[in-house]
Amino acid sequence: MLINLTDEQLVELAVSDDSEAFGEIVRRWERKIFALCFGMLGNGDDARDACQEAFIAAYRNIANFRGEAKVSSWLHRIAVNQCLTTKRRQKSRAEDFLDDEEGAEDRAFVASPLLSPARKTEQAERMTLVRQAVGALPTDLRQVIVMKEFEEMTFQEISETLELPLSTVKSRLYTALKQLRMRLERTPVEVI
Amino acid sequence: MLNNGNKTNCGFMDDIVSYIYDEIGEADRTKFETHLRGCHECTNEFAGISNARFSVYEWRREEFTDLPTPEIVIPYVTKTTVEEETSVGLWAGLRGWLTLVKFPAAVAAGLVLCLGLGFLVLRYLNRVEQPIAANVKNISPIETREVPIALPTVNDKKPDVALTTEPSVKPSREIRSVKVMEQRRAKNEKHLTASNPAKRNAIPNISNAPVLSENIEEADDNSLRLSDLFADVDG
Repeated sequence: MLINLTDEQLVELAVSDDSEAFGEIVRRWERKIFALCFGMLGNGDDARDACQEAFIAAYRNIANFRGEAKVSSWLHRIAVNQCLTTKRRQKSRAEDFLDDEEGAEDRAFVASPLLSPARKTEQAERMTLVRQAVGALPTDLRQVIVMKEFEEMTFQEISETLELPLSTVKSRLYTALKQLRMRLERTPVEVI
Repeated sequence: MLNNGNKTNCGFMDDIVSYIYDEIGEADRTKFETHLRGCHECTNEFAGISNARFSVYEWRREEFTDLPTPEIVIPYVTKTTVEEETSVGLWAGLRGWLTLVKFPAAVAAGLVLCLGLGFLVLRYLNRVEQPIAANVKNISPIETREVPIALPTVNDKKPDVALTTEPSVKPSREIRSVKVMEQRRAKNEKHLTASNPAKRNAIPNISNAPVLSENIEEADDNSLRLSDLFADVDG
């Protein structure tokens, strides 16, 4: 029954203490929000925590949802804020543990067993570069590229979620990819 | 193609990303492909942007696609818990209400507090000022008049409110009574002068009173002194 309801109807039910309705919202959006968190943060563990925290924050603040924006926009905003909080925490942690990035590298990349050791190393380095280049983008540009690549949303969906004109979304994505290209070209991966 | 930041002179910026993500209409696609064949700069730009996009795509495929979606655990607050919380008492209810309407409640409370304090201060100031004002208004006509206080009792039997030394509650009434008093005094004086000049003369005239000499030591003093009496007795 709940499957047939819109996000807004589910929120209404969730506000009136229907935990199953909120469970349905979680089921609908968990993969996308997890993808967004992964793209924003660059590793699975932090993305998992941020995703969990984002949904808890959404549940706690569901009574404040006034229906002026779409549920997807509201959830994305909460998730992006949660990612930014996590990033800030990571930054302060990195000051204490200087080898944080190396640890993240080991956690994140799992190379295919079919690749040669040299190829594996090269690909691992490339992934690290991409992750760092995406992570270095300004939040608004990073958000658009992550929504497009990780959540696989259309331009129209991104436009509706972020409440931005379609042309702005395309322009931001173009700028993000351009900056990414410049960063990747500046530090080419050495082929072993 | 000349590239100035995001702006391209060819105007195909939006079409590059739309083409890369395959979200372009058929007419625009044909137009863009035709343009790419003739514009070397745009072809290079398209290749660079595509390469960057592929890097992100690869990153997602390598590191994210196989990641399982985490199990989200929400600490649901059940209705019974809410009821238990509300049944704790009036204090819990009040706290809950204040949490709900935090900002308006704070504003309202602040406003009420300010109004109350303002009212108390004004009341206090009024209490301090009223007796002083009443005393000043009551005393000043008595001090300046030449006629004794008992004068109004000649024709007027009504009690004179203005002459009382007790502070009046309403200053407006005091002002009125002072005015009435002045009018009556003038009326009485006129009456006395016209009907009974003897009574008028009965009033001591201060201007005719004897004036003490400035050098009282040197002036002749023929009055009887106690020392003189004792001198006579001794003598």
